[in-house]
Amino acid sequence: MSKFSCGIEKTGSVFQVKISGVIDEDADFVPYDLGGATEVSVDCSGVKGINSCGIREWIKWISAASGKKVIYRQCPKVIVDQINMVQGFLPSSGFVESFFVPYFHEDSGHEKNVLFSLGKEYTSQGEIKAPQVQDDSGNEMEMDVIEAKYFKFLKK
Amino acid sequence: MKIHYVDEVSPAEVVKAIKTFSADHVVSRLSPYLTYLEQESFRLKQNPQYFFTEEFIRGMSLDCTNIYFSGASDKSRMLSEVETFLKGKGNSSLLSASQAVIEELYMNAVLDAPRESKLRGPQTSHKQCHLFLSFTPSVLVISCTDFYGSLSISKFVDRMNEVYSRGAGEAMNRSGGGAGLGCVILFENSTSLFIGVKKGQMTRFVVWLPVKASHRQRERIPKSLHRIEIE
Repeated sequence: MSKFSCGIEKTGSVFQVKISGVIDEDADFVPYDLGGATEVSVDCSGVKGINSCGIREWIKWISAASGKKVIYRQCPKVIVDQINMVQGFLPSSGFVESFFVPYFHEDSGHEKNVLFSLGKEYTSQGEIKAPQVQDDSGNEMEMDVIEAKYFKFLKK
Repeated sequence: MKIHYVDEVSPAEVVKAIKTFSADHVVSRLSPYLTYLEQESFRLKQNPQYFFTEEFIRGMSLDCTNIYFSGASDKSRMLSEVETFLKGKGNSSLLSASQAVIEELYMNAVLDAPRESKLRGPQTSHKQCHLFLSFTPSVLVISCTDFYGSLSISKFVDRMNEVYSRGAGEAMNRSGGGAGLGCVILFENSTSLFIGVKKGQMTRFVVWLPVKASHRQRERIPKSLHRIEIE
Protein backbone atom coordinates (compact mmCIF):
# COMPACT_ATOMS: atom_id res chain seq x y z
CA MET A 1 0.00 0.00 0.00
CA SER A 2 1.58 3.30 -1.09
CA LYS A 3 2.60 5.81 1.55
CA PHE A 4 1.28 9.33 1.71
CA SER A 5 2.99 11.89 -0.46
CA CYS A 6 2.21 15.50 -1.19
CA GLY A 7 3.60 18.06 -3.59
CA ILE A 8 2.80 21.76 -3.72
CA GLU A 9 3.53 24.31 -6.46
CA LYS A 10 2.98 27.95 -5.75
CA THR A 11 2.42 30.60 -8.37
CA GLY A 12 2.02 33.70 -6.26
CA SER A 13 -1.00 33.01 -4.07
CA VAL A 14 -2.34 30.21 -6.27
CA PHE A 15 -1.35 26.84 -4.85
CA GLN A 16 -1.53 23.58 -6.78
CA VAL A 17 -1.37 20.52 -4.61
CA LYS A 18 -1.06 16.87 -5.59
CA ILE A 19 -1.77 14.22 -2.97
CA SER A 20 -1.03 10.53 -3.41
CA GLY A 21 -1.02 7.30 -1.46
CA VAL A 22 -2.89 6.44 1.71
CA ILE A 23 -3.74 9.31 4.03
CA ASP A 24 -3.46 7.79 7.48
CA GLU A 25 -2.21 8.59 10.99
CA ASP A 26 1.32 9.08 9.61
CA ALA A 27 0.30 11.62 6.97
CA ASP A 28 1.99 14.92 7.73
CA PHE A 29 0.43 17.97 6.12
CA VAL A 30 2.41 20.46 8.21
CA PRO A 31 5.08 21.13 5.54
CA TYR A 32 2.30 21.96 3.04
CA ASP A 33 0.77 24.90 4.84
CA LEU A 34 -1.89 26.73 2.84
CA GLY A 35 -1.54 30.04 4.62
CA GLY A 36 -1.39 32.92 2.14
CA ALA A 37 -3.25 31.09 -0.61
CA THR A 38 -6.12 32.79 -2.41
CA GLU A 39 -6.77 29.71 -4.51
CA VAL A 40 -5.96 26.07 -3.81
CA SER A 41 -6.47 23.26 -6.26
CA VAL A 42 -6.00 19.72 -5.05
CA ASP A 43 -5.35 16.86 -7.46
CA CYS A 44 -6.65 13.76 -5.67
CA SER A 45 -6.12 11.27 -8.49
CA GLY A 46 -3.33 9.45 -6.67
CA VAL A 47 -5.19 8.95 -3.39
CA LYS A 48 -5.56 5.24 -2.63
CA GLY A 49 -7.28 5.41 0.73
CA ILE A 50 -7.96 7.51 3.80
CA ASN A 51 -8.69 6.51 7.39
CA SER A 52 -10.34 8.46 10.22
CA CYS A 53 -7.03 9.95 11.40
CA GLY A 54 -6.26 10.99 7.84
CA ILE A 55 -9.67 12.65 7.53
CA ARG A 56 -9.02 14.73 10.66
CA GLU A 57 -5.56 15.78 9.39
CA TRP A 58 -7.00 16.69 5.98
CA ILE A 59 -9.70 18.87 7.55
CA LYS A 60 -7.17 20.66 9.78
CA TRP A 61 -4.96 21.25 6.75
CA ILE A 62 -7.62 22.45 4.31
CA SER A 63 -9.23 24.72 6.92
CA ALA A 64 -6.27 27.10 6.42
CA ALA A 65 -7.81 27.85 3.04
CA SER A 66 -11.24 28.45 4.50
CA GLY A 67 -13.05 31.23 2.65
CA LYS A 68 -10.64 30.97 -0.27
CA LYS A 69 -11.31 29.32 -3.63
CA VAL A 70 -10.73 25.59 -3.20
CA ILE A 71 -10.97 23.14 -6.09
CA TYR A 72 -10.78 19.36 -5.83
CA ARG A 73 -9.88 17.50 -9.01
CA GLN A 74 -10.06 13.88 -10.11
CA CYS A 75 -11.46 12.69 -6.80
CA PRO A 76 -11.57 8.91 -6.42
CA LYS A 77 -14.57 7.32 -4.71
CA VAL A 78 -12.85 7.26 -1.30
CA ILE A 79 -12.57 11.05 -1.42
CA VAL A 80 -16.12 11.57 -2.68
CA ASP A 81 -17.38 9.40 0.19
CA GLN A 82 -15.66 11.70 2.70
CA ILE A 83 -16.93 14.86 0.98
CA ASN A 84 -20.43 13.47 1.41
CA MET A 85 -19.97 12.19 4.94
CA VAL A 86 -17.79 14.73 6.72
CA GLN A 87 -18.69 18.39 6.91
CA GLY A 88 -15.61 20.47 6.33
CA PHE A 89 -13.79 17.91 4.20
CA LEU A 90 -14.62 20.15 1.27
CA PRO A 91 -14.72 23.74 2.58
CA SER A 92 -17.95 25.62 1.92
CA SER A 93 -15.99 27.93 -0.40
CA GLY A 94 -14.85 24.92 -2.45
CA PHE A 95 -16.18 22.84 -5.29
CA VAL A 96 -15.36 19.63 -7.09
CA GLU A 97 -14.17 20.07 -10.64
CA SER A 98 -14.01 16.36 -11.44
CA PHE A 99 -14.52 13.02 -9.74
CA PHE A 100 -14.67 9.33 -10.55
CA VAL A 101 -17.82 7.24 -10.68
CA PRO A 102 -17.53 3.45 -10.58
CA TYR A 103 -19.41 1.52 -13.27
CA PHE A 104 -20.17 -2.18 -13.17
CA HIS A 105 -21.60 -4.91 -15.38
CA GLU A 106 -23.21 -7.54 -13.20
CA ASP A 107 -22.99 -10.53 -15.52
CA SER A 108 -19.39 -10.08 -16.60
CA GLY A 109 -18.20 -8.50 -13.33
CA HIS A 110 -16.29 -5.88 -15.33
CA GLU A 111 -15.56 -2.63 -13.52
CA LYS A 112 -14.56 0.81 -14.74
CA ASN A 113 -13.98 4.16 -13.10
CA VAL A 114 -15.34 6.97 -15.24
CA LEU A 115 -14.31 10.58 -14.78
CA PHE A 116 -17.18 13.03 -14.45
CA SER A 117 -16.19 16.65 -15.12
CA LEU A 118 -17.99 19.86 -14.25
CA GLY A 119 -19.71 21.26 -17.30
CA LYS A 120 -19.70 17.91 -19.05
CA GLU A 121 -21.18 15.10 -17.01
CA TYR A 122 -22.66 17.43 -14.39
CA THR A 123 -23.60 21.06 -13.95
CA SER A 124 -22.93 23.46 -11.10
CA GLN A 125 -26.59 22.97 -10.08
CA GLY A 126 -25.96 19.27 -9.62
CA GLU A 127 -27.74 17.98 -12.71
CA ILE A 128 -26.17 14.76 -13.90
CA LYS A 129 -25.75 13.88 -17.58
CA ALA A 130 -24.40 10.40 -17.10
CA PRO A 131 -22.53 8.97 -20.09
CA GLN A 132 -23.25 5.55 -21.54
CA VAL A 133 -20.38 3.28 -20.69
CA GLN A 134 -19.55 -0.07 -22.19
CA ASP A 135 -17.14 -2.71 -21.00
CA ASP A 136 -14.47 -4.19 -23.28
CA SER A 137 -17.01 -6.68 -24.65
CA GLY A 138 -19.48 -3.97 -25.58
CA ASN A 139 -21.87 -4.68 -22.69
CA GLU A 140 -23.56 -1.62 -21.27
CA MET A 141 -22.44 -0.91 -17.74
CA GLU A 142 -24.40 0.68 -14.90
CA MET A 143 -23.34 3.28 -12.36
CA ASP A 144 -22.25 1.33 -9.32
CA VAL A 145 -23.37 3.86 -6.75
CA ILE A 146 -26.58 4.82 -4.96
CA GLU A 147 -27.06 8.02 -6.93
CA ALA A 148 -28.95 10.03 -4.32
CA LYS A 149 -26.17 9.33 -1.83
CA TYR A 150 -23.09 9.57 -4.08
CA PHE A 151 -24.09 12.76 -5.86
CA LYS A 152 -25.46 14.40 -2.71
CA PHE A 153 -22.49 16.81 -2.49
CA LEU A 154 -23.38 18.30 -5.87
CA LYS A 155 -26.69 19.55 -4.55
CA LYS A 156 -25.21 21.70 -1.77
CA MET B 1 -29.10 -11.20 25.62
CA LYS B 2 -31.73 -9.57 23.52
CA ILE B 3 -32.23 -9.86 19.77
CA HIS B 4 -34.08 -6.99 18.15
CA TYR B 5 -35.43 -7.25 14.61
CA VAL B 6 -35.71 -4.35 12.21
CA ASP B 7 -36.92 -4.08 8.64
CA GLU B 8 -35.43 -1.76 6.05
CA VAL B 9 -33.56 0.75 8.15
CA SER B 10 -30.48 2.89 7.71
CA PRO B 11 -27.15 2.11 9.41
CA ALA B 12 -27.85 5.01 11.77
CA GLU B 13 -31.13 3.42 12.84
CA VAL B 14 -29.46 0.06 13.43
CA VAL B 15 -27.00 1.75 15.80
CA LYS B 16 -29.77 3.70 17.52
CA ALA B 17 -31.76 0.49 18.04
CA ILE B 18 -28.97 -1.03 20.16
CA LYS B 19 -29.49 1.71 22.73
CA THR B 20 -33.21 2.39 22.30
CA PHE B 21 -34.20 -1.24 22.75
CA SER B 22 -31.28 -2.27 25.01
CA ALA B 23 -30.55 -4.89 22.41
CA ASP B 24 -27.46 -7.03 22.08
CA HIS B 25 -28.18 -8.02 18.50
CA VAL B 26 -29.94 -5.88 15.91
CA VAL B 27 -30.78 -7.87 12.81
CA SER B 28 -32.80 -6.95 9.74
CA ARG B 29 -35.55 -9.30 8.62
CA LEU B 30 -34.62 -8.31 5.06
CA SER B 31 -30.98 -9.38 5.32
CA PRO B 32 -29.98 -12.11 2.87
CA TYR B 33 -27.99 -13.58 5.76
CA LEU B 34 -30.92 -13.58 8.20
CA THR B 35 -30.93 -17.32 8.87
CA TYR B 36 -27.23 -17.42 9.63
CA LEU B 37 -27.36 -14.22 11.67
CA GLU B 38 -30.22 -15.56 13.75
CA GLN B 39 -28.40 -18.82 14.27
CA GLU B 40 -25.23 -17.09 15.42
CA SER B 41 -27.10 -14.57 17.57
CA PHE B 42 -29.01 -17.34 19.36
CA ARG B 43 -25.83 -19.30 19.83
CA LEU B 44 -24.11 -16.25 21.30
CA LYS B 45 -27.12 -15.67 23.52
CA GLN B 46 -26.76 -19.15 24.96
CA ASN B 47 -22.99 -19.09 25.16
CA PRO B 48 -21.25 -15.67 24.85
CA GLN B 49 -17.84 -17.36 25.17
CA TYR B 50 -18.44 -18.86 21.71
CA PHE B 51 -17.65 -15.43 20.23
CA PHE B 52 -14.05 -15.70 21.39
CA THR B 53 -13.44 -19.10 19.83
CA GLU B 54 -11.71 -19.79 16.54
CA GLU B 55 -14.83 -21.63 15.39
CA PHE B 56 -16.81 -18.36 15.34
CA ILE B 57 -14.35 -16.50 13.16
CA ARG B 58 -13.27 -19.38 10.96
CA GLY B 59 -16.72 -20.76 10.22
CA MET B 60 -16.55 -23.41 7.49
CA SER B 61 -13.58 -21.81 5.76
CA LEU B 62 -10.30 -23.53 5.04
CA ASP B 63 -8.84 -20.41 3.41
CA CYS B 64 -7.62 -18.34 6.34
CA THR B 65 -4.65 -16.35 7.48
CA ASN B 66 -3.30 -15.17 10.84
CA ILE B 67 -1.43 -11.87 11.07
CA TYR B 68 0.11 -10.56 14.30
CA PHE B 69 1.01 -6.96 14.99
CA SER B 70 1.98 -4.72 17.87
CA GLY B 71 2.43 -1.20 16.62
CA ALA B 72 3.27 1.25 13.89
CA SER B 73 6.37 -0.63 12.73
CA ASP B 74 4.19 -3.64 11.89
CA LYS B 75 1.57 -1.78 9.86
CA SER B 76 3.25 -1.95 6.48
CA ARG B 77 3.95 -5.69 6.83
CA MET B 78 0.42 -6.31 8.08
CA LEU B 79 -1.16 -4.52 5.10
CA SER B 80 1.14 -6.31 2.70
CA GLU B 81 0.11 -9.70 4.11
CA VAL B 82 -3.55 -8.74 3.82
CA GLU B 83 -3.02 -7.67 0.22
CA THR B 84 -1.32 -10.97 -0.57
CA PHE B 85 -4.14 -12.97 1.03
CA LEU B 86 -6.87 -11.06 -0.81
CA LYS B 87 -5.16 -11.03 -4.22
CA GLY B 88 -7.53 -12.36 -6.86
CA LYS B 89 -10.28 -13.04 -4.32
CA GLY B 90 -12.65 -10.15 -4.89
CA ASN B 91 -13.63 -7.06 -6.81
CA SER B 92 -12.65 -3.47 -6.06
CA SER B 93 -15.68 -3.05 -3.80
CA LEU B 94 -14.53 -5.88 -1.53
CA LEU B 95 -10.93 -4.65 -1.54
CA SER B 96 -11.81 -1.05 -0.69
CA ALA B 97 -14.25 -2.10 2.07
CA SER B 98 -11.62 -4.49 3.50
CA GLN B 99 -8.97 -1.81 3.42
CA ALA B 100 -11.20 0.69 5.22
CA VAL B 101 -12.20 -1.89 7.86
CA ILE B 102 -8.64 -3.03 8.52
CA GLU B 103 -7.35 0.55 8.83
CA GLU B 104 -9.89 1.31 11.56
CA LEU B 105 -9.43 -2.04 13.33
CA TYR B 106 -5.68 -1.49 13.34
CA MET B 107 -6.01 1.99 14.85
CA ASN B 108 -8.40 0.78 17.49
CA ALA B 109 -6.08 -2.06 18.52
CA VAL B 110 -2.84 -0.07 18.46
CA LEU B 111 -3.95 3.43 19.50
CA ASP B 112 -7.34 3.37 21.22
CA ALA B 113 -7.13 0.12 23.19
CA PRO B 114 -3.84 0.88 25.00
CA ARG B 115 -5.00 4.44 25.71
CA GLU B 116 -8.27 3.25 27.24
CA SER B 117 -6.42 0.59 29.20
CA LYS B 118 -4.02 3.21 30.67
CA LEU B 119 -6.99 5.26 31.86
CA ARG B 120 -8.15 2.28 33.85
CA GLY B 121 -4.88 1.66 35.62
CA PRO B 122 -1.29 0.44 35.18
CA GLN B 123 -0.74 -1.54 32.02
CA THR B 124 0.39 -5.12 32.18
CA SER B 125 2.39 -6.71 29.40
CA HIS B 126 0.28 -7.57 26.42
CA LYS B 127 0.29 -10.10 23.67
CA GLN B 128 0.44 -9.02 20.06
CA CYS B 129 -2.82 -8.11 18.43
CA HIS B 130 -4.29 -10.72 16.14
CA LEU B 131 -5.84 -10.13 12.75
CA PHE B 132 -7.59 -13.15 11.27
CA LEU B 133 -9.05 -13.33 7.78
CA SER B 134 -11.30 -16.15 6.67
CA PHE B 135 -12.49 -16.39 3.06
CA THR B 136 -15.30 -18.31 1.43
CA PRO B 137 -16.78 -17.65 -2.03
CA SER B 138 -19.69 -15.82 -0.38
CA VAL B 139 -18.27 -14.02 2.65
CA LEU B 140 -15.00 -12.59 3.93
CA VAL B 141 -14.70 -12.54 7.71
CA ILE B 142 -12.21 -10.14 9.25
CA SER B 143 -11.52 -10.43 12.93
CA CYS B 144 -9.23 -8.27 15.06
CA THR B 145 -8.39 -9.07 18.67
CA ASP B 146 -6.45 -7.02 21.17
CA PHE B 147 -5.64 -8.25 24.63
CA TYR B 148 -6.52 -5.17 26.62
CA GLY B 149 -10.25 -5.74 26.98
CA SER B 150 -10.60 -2.01 27.60
CA LEU B 151 -13.32 -1.14 25.10
CA SER B 152 -16.57 0.23 26.42
CA ILE B 153 -19.13 -0.94 23.88
CA SER B 154 -21.69 1.48 25.23
CA LYS B 155 -19.28 4.40 24.68
CA PHE B 156 -18.49 3.05 21.20
CA VAL B 157 -22.20 2.99 20.34
CA ASP B 158 -22.77 6.45 21.85
CA ARG B 159 -19.99 7.88 19.66
CA MET B 160 -21.52 6.37 16.58
CA ASN B 161 -24.92 7.76 17.52
CA GLU B 162 -23.39 11.19 17.91
CA VAL B 163 -21.75 11.08 14.50
CA TYR B 164 -24.98 9.92 12.87
CA SER B 165 -27.16 12.48 14.63
CA ARG B 166 -24.88 15.55 14.55
CA GLY B 167 -22.77 14.78 11.52
CA ALA B 168 -19.13 13.72 11.51
CA GLY B 169 -17.80 17.26 11.17
CA GLU B 170 -19.81 18.55 14.13
CA ALA B 171 -18.90 15.58 16.31
CA MET B 172 -15.21 16.17 15.58
CA ASN B 173 -15.49 19.88 16.36
CA ARG B 174 -16.98 19.11 19.73
CA SER B 175 -14.56 16.53 20.99
CA GLY B 176 -11.37 17.23 19.05
CA GLY B 177 -10.18 13.72 18.42
CA GLY B 178 -11.40 10.12 18.67
CA ALA B 179 -14.87 11.44 18.02
CA GLY B 180 -16.44 8.29 16.67
CA LEU B 181 -15.64 8.82 13.01
CA GLY B 182 -13.53 5.66 12.93
CA CYS B 183 -16.37 3.67 14.51
CA VAL B 184 -18.78 4.89 11.84
CA ILE B 185 -16.33 4.24 9.00
CA LEU B 186 -15.91 0.71 10.36
CA PHE B 187 -19.67 0.13 10.50
CA GLU B 188 -20.40 1.79 7.14
CA ASN B 189 -17.93 -0.56 5.46
CA SER B 190 -19.23 -3.69 7.24
CA THR B 191 -22.34 -5.71 6.49
CA SER B 192 -22.37 -7.30 9.94
CA LEU B 193 -20.31 -5.99 12.83
CA PHE B 194 -19.78 -7.99 16.03
CA ILE B 195 -18.09 -6.35 19.00
CA GLY B 196 -17.08 -8.48 21.97
CA VAL B 197 -15.28 -7.60 25.19
CA LYS B 198 -14.00 -9.80 27.98
CA LYS B 199 -13.33 -7.01 30.40
CA GLY B 200 -9.65 -6.56 31.20
CA GLN B 201 -8.70 -9.49 28.97
CA MET B 202 -9.56 -9.04 25.32
CA THR B 203 -11.60 -7.13 22.79
CA ARG B 204 -12.57 -8.65 19.49
CA PHE B 205 -14.18 -7.09 16.44
CA VAL B 206 -15.59 -9.38 13.77
CA VAL B 207 -16.73 -8.02 10.43
CA TRP B 208 -18.60 -9.88 7.71
CA LEU B 209 -18.23 -8.69 4.13
CA PRO B 210 -20.08 -10.20 1.15
CA VAL B 211 -17.54 -11.21 -1.46
CA LYS B 212 -19.40 -10.86 -4.71
CA ALA B 213 -21.32 -7.62 -4.13
CA SER B 214 -20.64 -4.49 -6.16
CA HIS B 215 -20.37 -1.11 -4.38
CA ARG B 216 -24.08 -0.42 -4.80
CA GLN B 217 -25.17 -3.92 -3.82
CA ARG B 218 -22.96 -3.81 -0.74
CA GLU B 219 -24.47 -0.52 0.42
CA ARG B 220 -27.99 -1.86 -0.05
CA ILE B 221 -27.54 -4.97 2.09
CA PRO B 222 -29.18 -4.31 5.48
CA LYS B 223 -26.63 -4.18 8.24
CA SER B 224 -26.58 -5.96 11.57
CA LEU B 225 -24.84 -4.98 14.77
CA HIS B 226 -24.00 -7.29 17.67
CA ARG B 227 -22.46 -6.85 21.08
CA ILE B 228 -21.12 -9.44 23.46
CA GLU B 229 -19.88 -8.51 26.91
CA ILE B 230 -18.36 -10.77 29.53
CA GLU B 231 -17.34 -9.36 32.91
